[in-house]
Amino acid sequence: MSGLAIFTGVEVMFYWLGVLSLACVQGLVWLRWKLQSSWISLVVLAAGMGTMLFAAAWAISSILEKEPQSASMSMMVIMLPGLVLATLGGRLAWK
Amino acid sequence: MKGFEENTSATEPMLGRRSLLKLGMAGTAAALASAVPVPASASANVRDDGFGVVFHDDFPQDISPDYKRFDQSQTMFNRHAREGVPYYKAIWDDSRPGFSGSDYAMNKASATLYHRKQGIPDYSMDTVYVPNELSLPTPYKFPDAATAHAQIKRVARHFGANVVGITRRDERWDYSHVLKPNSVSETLPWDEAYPDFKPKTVVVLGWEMEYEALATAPSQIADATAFNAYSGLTYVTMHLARYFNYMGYKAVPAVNGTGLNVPYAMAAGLGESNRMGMLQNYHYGTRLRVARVYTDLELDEYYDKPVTFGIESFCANCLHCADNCPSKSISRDDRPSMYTAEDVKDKPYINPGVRKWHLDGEKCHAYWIESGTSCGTCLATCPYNKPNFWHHRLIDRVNTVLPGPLHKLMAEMDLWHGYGNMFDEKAPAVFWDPKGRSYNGLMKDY
Ligand code: SF4
Ligand code: SF4
Repeated sequence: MSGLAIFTGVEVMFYWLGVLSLACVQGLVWLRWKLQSSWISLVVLAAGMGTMLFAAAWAISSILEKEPQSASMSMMVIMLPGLVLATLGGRLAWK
Repeated sequence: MKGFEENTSATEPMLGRRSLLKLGMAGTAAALASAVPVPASASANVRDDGFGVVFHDDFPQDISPDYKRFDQSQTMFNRHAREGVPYYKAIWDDSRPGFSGSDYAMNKASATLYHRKQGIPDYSMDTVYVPNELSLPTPYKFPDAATAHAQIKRVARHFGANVVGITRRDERWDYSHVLKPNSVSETLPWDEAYPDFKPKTVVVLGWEMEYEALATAPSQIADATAFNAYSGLTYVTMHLARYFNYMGYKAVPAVNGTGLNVPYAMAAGLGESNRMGMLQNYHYGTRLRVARVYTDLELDEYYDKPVTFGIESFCANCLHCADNCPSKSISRDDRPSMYTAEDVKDKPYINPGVRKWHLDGEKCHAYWIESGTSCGTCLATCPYNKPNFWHHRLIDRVNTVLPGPLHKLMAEMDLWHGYGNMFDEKAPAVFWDPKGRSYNGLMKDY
C-alpha cells in the first residue's frame, strides 16, 4: 500500500502485525478452548509470540530505515529468545 | 470590529438526516468508482507509486497558436496599484474567531521576509524590534496565561520551529556585556545595549537538523544542515519578534547573541545538559539548534518547567561523543564538575560556577579549522540522535526509567546495532539517495 502513495511503510507494517496479533490471540483461545492447555503454557507461548512480533516490527523498521545491522541484531537478540519461548510454550500447550 | 462591514454573518447550511444518508451513498459510490484501476493508455504512464497519476510529454492544457507572453504590469495587483485600489487592510476583532489581535499579529508578521522587498526596513539579529503603525493601538491582552502559552507556541511552530518553550527572562543567562555591531572586541553592558527594553519573557525555539545530513559529519553536508538550521532560526526569530510587535510589544530576536541558549532552553523545559555541555532534547536528542526571542510581554504564570529524563546517568555510562571526538575536547570525567575561577584561569572561554561537563571549545575549534568543517561528530554519534522512528522513541522512553548500569548496556547495544559510526564514507550516499529513508513510503518526487 505504501507503493500506492497512501500509507507509510510503518503504517502498513503495523497493520499486518495487527492481523498477525489477532491470529495469535485466536490461536491461544483455541488452545485453551479445545485442548484445555494450562494457563502457564499459554502465558509462555503468548510471551514468545509477542516477542517475535516485536522483533519482526523492529527488523522491518530497521530495513525501512536502511540500518540492516540493526535488523540482524533484532533477529538475534529479540527474535531468537522469542522463538525459544514460543517453542517451549507451544510444546507445553500442545497436549 | 476594526475597518470591517457589519452584518456579514455567515449562516452554515444544515444537513438533515436524509441528506446525510444521500451523502453517504454518494460517497460510497465515489469510493467504489475510484477504486477501479485506471488503465494506462499508450500515451501516458501510470506512476508506479500511486494509481491515477499520469505523466504527459506535453503541457496538459490546450494552448492557442495566438498565445503571447504576459506583461507583468497587467497583473490584477499591479493594475489596482496604479489605479490606487488598496491591496486590502487586515482587520482584527477579538469577538470573532480567527480575527483576534493575536491572529492579526500572526498574519502581519508572516509577511516579514516577503515584504522586505517592498520597502520595509532591513532587520538583523540582537536588535530591538518595536511596534509600528500597523501594530495594535493598545497591546493585546491574552485571555489568560495558558492561552498565551498555547498561541505563542502555535505561532512559533507556524513559522517553522520544531520545539518551543517559554520561560521568564533570567539575567544569569544573559551576557553581562554584548558586542557592539560588527565588532569582536568592543562591548556594552547588556542594559546599555538595550536601554529602553526590559524583557520579561524569553521564548526558546529549536530547529531540527536533518538526520541523514548530520550522519555524514564531519563534512560539508553536515555543515549544511547546521547552517540551514541557523537560517531557519533566523527566519523564526525575526517573524516571532514581529508577531510580538504587531500585538504591541517590543522584542529582540537572538540566535547566538545576547545570551546563552543552553540554560535558557533548559529553563524552558526543552531538555537536559549532556556530556558535551549541550542541550539533549527529549525528542531530537543532540540534533537541534536553538535560538531565543526576548519580549516585554509578561505572563501571569509560566508553565514550562525544567525537565530531567536520565541524561546525566546515561552520559555517565556512555562516552561515544568523547570517544569519537577527533580533538579530544569532550570531558571523560565520570560525573559533571563545578569549575571554579581558578580551574579556568587559562580558559576564559569557559564560564565556571555551574555543575556540568565542560567542553574545551578552543581545542574543538582548532579541529574545525584543520578539517575545513564545523565537525559535529559528537552530535551525530550520540545514541539519542536518531531518525523519527517508533523503535527509537521507544528506546528513549525506556532509557528514562532504566537504572544507571543498564545505560552502559544500552549505549553498547547502540553500537552493536550499527549506529554511531562516524567518519563513514558511505553516509553521503545515503544523504544523496533520491529515495531517502523509505520509512514513510511516500518519498517519491511529485
Ligand atoms: S565538534 Fe568535533 S571536535 Fe568539536 S567537540 Fe564535537 S567531535 Fe569534538
Ligand atoms: S554520546 Fe553518550 S555521553 Fe555523549 S552526549 Fe550522547 S549520550 Fe551523552
